[in-house]
Amino acid sequence: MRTLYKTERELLRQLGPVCVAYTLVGMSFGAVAASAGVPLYVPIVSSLTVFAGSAQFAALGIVLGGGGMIVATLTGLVINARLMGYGFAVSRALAGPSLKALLLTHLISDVNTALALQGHGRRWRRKALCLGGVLIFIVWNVATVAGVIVGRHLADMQALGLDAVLPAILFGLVRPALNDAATRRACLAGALIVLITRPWLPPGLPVIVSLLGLLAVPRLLRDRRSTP
Amino acid sequence: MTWMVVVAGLAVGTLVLRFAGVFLGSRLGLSPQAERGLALAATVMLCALVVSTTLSSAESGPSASHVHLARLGGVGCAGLLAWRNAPLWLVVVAAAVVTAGLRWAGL
Repeated sequence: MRTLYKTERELLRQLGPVCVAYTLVGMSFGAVAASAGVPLYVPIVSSLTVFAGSAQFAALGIVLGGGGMIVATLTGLVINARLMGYGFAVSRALAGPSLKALLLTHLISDVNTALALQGHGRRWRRKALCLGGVLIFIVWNVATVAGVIVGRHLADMQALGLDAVLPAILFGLVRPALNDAATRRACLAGALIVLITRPWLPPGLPVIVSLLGLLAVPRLLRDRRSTP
Repeated sequence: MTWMVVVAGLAVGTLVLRFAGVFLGSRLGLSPQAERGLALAATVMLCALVVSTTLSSAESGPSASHVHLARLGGVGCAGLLAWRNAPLWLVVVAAAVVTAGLRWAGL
């Protein structure tokens, strides 16, 4: 019995702090929207149907700043273009035409993709996608509603340093993959590309362009030593 | 009206993006090597996302380009801890506390 739940326990150990962080960020999303006078269904429905925090924040900010709906939508979609790459990378773990696979597809996010890519087996990946996806989905949506209710009474996210939490936690989740030298090199090159292109490109695109960092690993397809 | 268009556009578009990736992958019948390459690509994008969210100012839209030094310091400390394999909760707390501290100090 003990070994049966080993995967789940390992996943939950990492998902604990992630859930706390996403609760706070989700609440601040709901609160920002509500206190800006946006119709209340907007943050709630978008958390349910878009389920991608950075795009939701960006679109909200653009419309509130008078940027127009087309720019807001397109910017959000460019930011979310990375999700297609995630889906591609974890597709084997999601295989199957079942309704469950379709629902899981909607739950693909930065968190459960990073968790899934910590391991190689199909079993680990599927469990990471399932457990991570469902937990973050629940947390994100409940927190959004809570944020809408609490509204402007919520403390300032910036003063609490919460804006640093999401990148920090993502890096923590990606860290095990960086034990591999080739991965490290490609990621470093990708990070440099973001630094260079960020001032010139619209938000979201630098992340896509960072894929050029893969060129730093010329023998990409050669067998690499895998890390557990 | 504006809001409805934005939410619907984002929802449908994002679903298409997610689905397209999964569909493409399962149709192509990826070799283990191709799958490793894709995992590497996704990892590169995750790292790139870490860098871009650390530097961006999401609250003020696409035009804002100044860097929040306090956040940079907080994520830097957290990143160092994560690099040394510190537990994730410590990484999270360090990011928030260091950033808030630096901000309180006026950075």
